[in-house]
Amino acid sequence: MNLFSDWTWFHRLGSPRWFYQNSGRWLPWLSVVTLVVLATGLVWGLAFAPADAKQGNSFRIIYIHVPASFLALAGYYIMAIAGAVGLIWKMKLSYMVMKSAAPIGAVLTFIALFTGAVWGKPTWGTYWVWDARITSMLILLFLYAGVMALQYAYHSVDAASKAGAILALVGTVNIPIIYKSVDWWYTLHQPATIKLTSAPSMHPDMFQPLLVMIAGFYLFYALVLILQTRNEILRRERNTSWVRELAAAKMTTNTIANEAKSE
Amino acid sequence: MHPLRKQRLQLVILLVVATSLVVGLVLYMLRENGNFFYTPAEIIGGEAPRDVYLRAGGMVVDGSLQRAEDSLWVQFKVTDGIETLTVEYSGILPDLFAEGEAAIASGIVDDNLVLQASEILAKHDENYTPPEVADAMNEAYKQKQENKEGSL
Amino acid sequence: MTMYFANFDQLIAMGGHGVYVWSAFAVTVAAMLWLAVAPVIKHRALLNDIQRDSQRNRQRQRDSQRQDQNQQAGQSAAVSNATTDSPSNQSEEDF
Repeated sequence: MNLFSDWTWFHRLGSPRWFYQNSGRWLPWLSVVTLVVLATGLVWGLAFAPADAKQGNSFRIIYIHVPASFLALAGYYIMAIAGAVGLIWKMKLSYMVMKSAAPIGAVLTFIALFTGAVWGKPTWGTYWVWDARITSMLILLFLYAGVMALQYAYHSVDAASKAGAILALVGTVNIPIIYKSVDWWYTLHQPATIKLTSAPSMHPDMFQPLLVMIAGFYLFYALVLILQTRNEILRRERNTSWVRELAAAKMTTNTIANEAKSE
Repeated sequence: MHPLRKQRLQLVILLVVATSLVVGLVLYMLRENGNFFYTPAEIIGGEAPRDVYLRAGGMVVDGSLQRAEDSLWVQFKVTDGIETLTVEYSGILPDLFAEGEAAIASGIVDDNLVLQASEILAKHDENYTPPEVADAMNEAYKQKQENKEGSL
Repeated sequence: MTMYFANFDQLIAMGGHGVYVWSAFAVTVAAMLWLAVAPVIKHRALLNDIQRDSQRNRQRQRDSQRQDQNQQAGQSAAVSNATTDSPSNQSEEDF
């Protein structure tokens, strides 16, 4: 019994209402910081970082390609962990996070694949090859799409969440394959520039804006995940009194503002 | 059909198609151990199939690139440090193709163990350097080589 | 810190790689803008929808109360049931 009572904090953390109210307080700040960091990284990478000696300016695509790929992979772990927490603790908020993470991850994976293809043409001489890295990344896109599809495949929210969580967890097998594909097999894609164990194989003048962009993408991911989760909370809790009161309060302020405008 | 059942049927079809696509792609990737290309040693040593379309990858040997004067025909050698394979190709080379850089040629290996390529891709490494830094490094390298030669 | 390019035209041209670089960045920015703006619009629509729903429910409750009173007063025939519409309401809430 003690074990369960010790977990109450965890359940309180998983309260959709608590999350909605607290995240609302931080959203304006998070939006501003995200915008500033992304804009800084974008201008730095596009206009101020030096070109690459061999690839010329096409290498600048790295400033979106690498951050998008990072978040496509990290986002999958977030989705799978949220699914696992939902399966184990039956936490409602966790399933909402899982459902919200899927479309964001899918878009980021698409960005990674698209920018990679556009970068491939001037450097490799082709838009697309079926090497291990690119193929495993395409599988990631299908996994995200699968989790999304499962959310609409069941009439019951509970069944959809469970099925999505199971697919998300099974699919985690793919993530280390993506990471290691360039080391395990001969691929057209080059090995990682940013490594955990050693210094990046990139000049600092080029690496600094890349770090800014990666930070910006992490912030952006957090921002969009919170926005999507808040909508999911409203959708699933629309019959609770706190959501109704919230909607009523929001509408009154909007009406007052509109009336003031029209006068 | 009941709209709900129709919707479910569509989703089942979607899932089946998606799963088969994923499994198909995994199998495609794992075929030939998932390698995108063969090394010259594997081709010369007979590990790679003969008379079928394949890819060979390696470093373009310095000074091996020969161009025809009146056409786009080129010949060069690629090496993996063990064996060297001759490649012949007729067409436009990618911008990043250069001696001393890695390239991947796809085509058929003929009886003279020459790869008749129909496509050349440049493979680049994970290093990024600004032009001035690269020039300085090359300069320093050249200096070192000259000093070495001078001391001999 | 100075710009890598000598002028604006060179920045656009990107040494001949302009088409690749700018198209990659344009698609990325568009996709990310959509990711950020779509949920904000959806949020507003959801709140609107919920508010309309609960107003309708309240109206329905009020109507049925009035109906009861009217019935008691013996004037039941005059009451329209136009406001008790939207049976689809219930299924939307399930989702």
